[in-house]
Amino acid sequence: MRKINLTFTLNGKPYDIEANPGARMIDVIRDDLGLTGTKEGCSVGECGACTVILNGDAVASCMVLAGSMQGADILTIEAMSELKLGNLLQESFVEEDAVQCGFCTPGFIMSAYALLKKNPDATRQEIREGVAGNLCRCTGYIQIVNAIENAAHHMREE
Amino acid sequence: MKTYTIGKSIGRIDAHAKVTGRAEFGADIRLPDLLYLKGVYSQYAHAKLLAVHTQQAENMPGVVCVVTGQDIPGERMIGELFIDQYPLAYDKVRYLGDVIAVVAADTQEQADAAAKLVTADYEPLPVLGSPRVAMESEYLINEEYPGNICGEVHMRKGDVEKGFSESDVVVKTNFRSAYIEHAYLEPESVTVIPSPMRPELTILGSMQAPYNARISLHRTLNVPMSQIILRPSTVGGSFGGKIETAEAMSIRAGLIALKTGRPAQYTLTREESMRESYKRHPIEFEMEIGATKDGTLKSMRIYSISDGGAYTNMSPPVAYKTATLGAGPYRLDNVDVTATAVLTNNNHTGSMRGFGVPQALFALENTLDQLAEKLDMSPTEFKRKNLLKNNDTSPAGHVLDFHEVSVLSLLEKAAAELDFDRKFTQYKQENKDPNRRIRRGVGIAVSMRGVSIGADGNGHDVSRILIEVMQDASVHANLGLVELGQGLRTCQMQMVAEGMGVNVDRVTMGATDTSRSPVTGACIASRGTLLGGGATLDACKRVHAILVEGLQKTYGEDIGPVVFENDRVLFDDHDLSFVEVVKNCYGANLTPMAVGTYSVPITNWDPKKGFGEPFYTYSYSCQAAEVEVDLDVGSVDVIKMVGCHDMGRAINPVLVHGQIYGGLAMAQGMALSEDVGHDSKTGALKNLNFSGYLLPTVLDVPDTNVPILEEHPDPRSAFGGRSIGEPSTEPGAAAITCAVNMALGKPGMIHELPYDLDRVFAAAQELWGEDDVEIS
Amino acid sequence: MLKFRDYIRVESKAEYEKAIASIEGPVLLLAGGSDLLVQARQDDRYEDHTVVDIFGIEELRTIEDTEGHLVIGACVTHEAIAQSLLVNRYAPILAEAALSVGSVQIRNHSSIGGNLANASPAADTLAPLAVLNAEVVILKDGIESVVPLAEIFEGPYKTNLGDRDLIVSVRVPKLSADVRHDYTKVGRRKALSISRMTIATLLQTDENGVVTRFDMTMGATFPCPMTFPDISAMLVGKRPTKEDISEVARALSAKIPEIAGIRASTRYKQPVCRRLSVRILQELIGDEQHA
Repeated sequence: MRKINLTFTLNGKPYDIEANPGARMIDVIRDDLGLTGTKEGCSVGECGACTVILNGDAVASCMVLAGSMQGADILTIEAMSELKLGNLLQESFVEEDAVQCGFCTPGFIMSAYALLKKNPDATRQEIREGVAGNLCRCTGYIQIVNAIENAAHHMREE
Repeated sequence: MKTYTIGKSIGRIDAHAKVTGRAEFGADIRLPDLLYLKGVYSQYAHAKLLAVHTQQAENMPGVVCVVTGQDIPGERMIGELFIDQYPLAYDKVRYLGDVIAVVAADTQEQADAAAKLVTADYEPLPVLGSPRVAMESEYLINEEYPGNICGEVHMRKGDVEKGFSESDVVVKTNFRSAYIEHAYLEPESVTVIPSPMRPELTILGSMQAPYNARISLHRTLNVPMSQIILRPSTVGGSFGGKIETAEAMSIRAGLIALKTGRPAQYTLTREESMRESYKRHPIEFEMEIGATKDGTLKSMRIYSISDGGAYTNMSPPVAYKTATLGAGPYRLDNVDVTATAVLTNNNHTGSMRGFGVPQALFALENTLDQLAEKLDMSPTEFKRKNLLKNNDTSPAGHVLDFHEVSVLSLLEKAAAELDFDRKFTQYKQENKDPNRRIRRGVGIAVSMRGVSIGADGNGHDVSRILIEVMQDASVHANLGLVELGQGLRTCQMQMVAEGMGVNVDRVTMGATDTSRSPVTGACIASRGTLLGGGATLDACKRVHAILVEGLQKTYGEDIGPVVFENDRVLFDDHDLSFVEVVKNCYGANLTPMAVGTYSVPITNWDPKKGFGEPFYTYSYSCQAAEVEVDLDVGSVDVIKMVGCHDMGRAINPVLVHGQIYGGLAMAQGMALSEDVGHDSKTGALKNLNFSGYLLPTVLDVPDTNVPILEEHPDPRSAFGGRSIGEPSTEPGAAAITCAVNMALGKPGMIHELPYDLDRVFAAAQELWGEDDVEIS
Repeated sequence: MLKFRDYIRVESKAEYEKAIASIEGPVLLLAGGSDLLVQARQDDRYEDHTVVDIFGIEELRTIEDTEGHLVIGACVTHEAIAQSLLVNRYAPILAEAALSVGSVQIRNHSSIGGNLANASPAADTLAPLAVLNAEVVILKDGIESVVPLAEIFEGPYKTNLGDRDLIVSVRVPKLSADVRHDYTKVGRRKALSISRMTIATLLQTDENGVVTRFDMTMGATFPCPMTFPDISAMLVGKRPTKEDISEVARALSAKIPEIAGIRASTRYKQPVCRRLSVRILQELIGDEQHA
């Protein structure tokens, strides 16, 4: 099968790779680039564990074909420690005990990052709506929302 | 008792790795030369398996081998307690999740493509699609079980007939729960790595019970247990679910690793996970409960039938808990509970957080609300009169004189937080107005949770830990109880620090590794804190004895009692740092390392009579819920839930809060939206992914849920702690249903789970008529 | 990994036309992918299809404000529609519906055109587009034509578009500010919810409270999007009374068995539709309701 050529920036690094035309974005990220922080939970866009940021928007990387990565600027959980807001979110998730099994955590952090980048003044309700595409089976969500709210608060203070 | 580490909300030890995406889950493992696997599922829920044809698949590009049940060199069946499960079906298939072959290839795509070419010859047998059909069928799914009944447990006390005759009010009800999926966000994944030196296999991945798996791997693959090493990866949730399925997968992958000498990774898609994995038991209940006019409970009869599915799995012990805990924490002289488990050709059912009790409480509490209404009492009034207190005898016959029986206090706290009594009166009044289409209701439910396996496993309930103090006085603890996300290892670390009398910073919890952590049984059954704590205390005593021996060599035999506390070691008039004492020990050529062992004391339980002490100790809980029901749509909004729990001592209060928040949400899903659903004609499941299997989202779970802890350190537990994982989800579905039924205006009206739009709307129609609505 | 024959990404309509002319075998237009990727994963049905990814065509990603219409490019995402000032001003019912689609992750990578082409009866935007009298611009064999929304649908998941026919845009007549609207979605949960039923309503009255426009329909209920002139006629020209509302609700809900036949779901949908219709109309008519 013909491979497709893709050039894009991921986590600040330029890539020029070949991919299978049937590859989804999550396949490229996890298998071709070896970045396994992005998780595959349902493969049908229902759980949000595979959330990454594509040109500033949160997307389910299992619901995006690799071709959409062409020319794009992409962020995954692996970049979050290097970004101020990403780092604040990570610390806040730790501090608020928003993590249990941790499988949904990267997806939640990516959704929260995209949301707060667009709307730094997000209210608690807006935060809840912003992560409504991410399922968590362990925490019952409240501590996750607390963590995002807390990170937003710190971000505004700085 | 003064404590230094336990009772503190220190951060969980794995949080940083998890928020950065660095924590390695099963499917994240990358190895050179890795093979990828794909299972082939049975086409029939019940059939003789005559032949499996693999040749075509074997000829596909990239395929390295295809294995079937015939390739298993040792015993061909597995099971934790009852050995009747095929890791790979070979002569018969019993449900649609049975795997008949596994393909191994260089890439996942190659394996997937080849798996489609595996065919089989079947001789179909009738599908026994429900317990009632199975009980009457001439076909036996397992020859050992007449009537397909794989378990029957009784709990009996007093004389129920006499009790009913002395009752002024008796209610009879029926309830039914649904198939619930654990729905851990991480689908199962195991990787088996063969050693080039020996038949040795190292198994990584998502598994809850590595020691159980070791036994099965040993039996099926003929590899000595000393050459089977299990190292669970970060586990993405389990809730009781990653035991038998992960074990069967390990065997299939192990077979391929042994055959090819290459590491093999086996990851399920969500659909495969739903298709193959076991579920929470759907249970039908027939209840009969009587009380006298003054509201005193007199008599209770419960008959339950659970759908065990294709394999015995945990059905008998689940039935044990349904039977021994299903009567709740009530004072009751006459009780007769029978819990029956039946094999069918549906998905097998096994351990899931709550283990047969959430279903029972759903039936019990909604029946009690009916009884209370007939007695013109509120649910809280009724409960206040009947809940167990100190020194009372439990329904099973256990005299509760050994710890604080706090359930009444929990009820008061939960009721106060929800403002239950006022709202109950107000909403009851409001709901009399037929024009009110959006109605509110409150519900409250209680439980007593038997801690650990119970008398069902009398004498077999053991845990072990290895603690080693290194030369630099750092402490390494190796415990076989797996971190599943609940925070177990953080709590265990705190108990190790407390037990050793050292600063918690000294303690490292080694990753669970069966070659280093001594056999400890599974992280199941509300046993982590009691069992892990008991073993830790024992290990600490033994290590202390070695350190004392070193001190005696230096300071003389008669140094008297030595106290290890807060990183200091005190004896005579000495006050040494822990570091000095460790240095001294190594200087004396001693080894400060020990295995600690704890076994739960045998309790006095008569299984024939169904009477006595079914558990060593209990956790108490009360959960309350407020809901809003839209009669015109059938929708239910949960407004608030309260989870009030006495887990003895909260080793780490913040982590306990996390368990409660999560448990409440899980209960909400069980009540309102979660149902795997199945076709009883074919045994096929209806919802194989999260598009149809509906977990509560962040917008469904109330943002106002409140956890409340009440602590009474349990004298029967080493560090006073019991359990919270299971209790936190136990009474919630019952409480929500009570609240919905109150909003509908009739206790017990909704008696089947889950109640999504149609079911609630139909109930509202029945109660409030289709055409009686005044349009105003 | 999904199975396609090939993947071609086009950046303009011209490139698109060139591409489809040169491709042999069936073409699969990709305009986001939230429906298509789910289907492609189920089996190998698209193994011999060439994916033509049109999601990046800028010309299809604009919302234009023409004299009488909003022209929404086929590849405008649900999130962009939900957040668009123009849509919120001139067709707010559509913005609300777009916001109720799946989750933000899905809304960011799914489009109105893709949603129409998929023709799921449960698509959230269909009932609003129906009451808005939306039209669809189709590019077929090099010719653009405008067709009423309902005309492209043949049944559940079935349109009369060929594999190389491109939905270019959706033309939505602009509503004046005094048209009141309601979009109600009945789902099993509050997010990530597939509609059990949607109800879209537009209502306009003059200064005397006389109804000058009324359109009401359901989604996730009929095989194709439906509009009901007979239902509209029940209120237009009237100052609605309680009885009128009740009659409309009855007549509208009676469409469910009439059109979709009596099914297991009718027992739920018909009475719920009736009750919700009463509520919606009472709310929209408000104080002007006449005794």
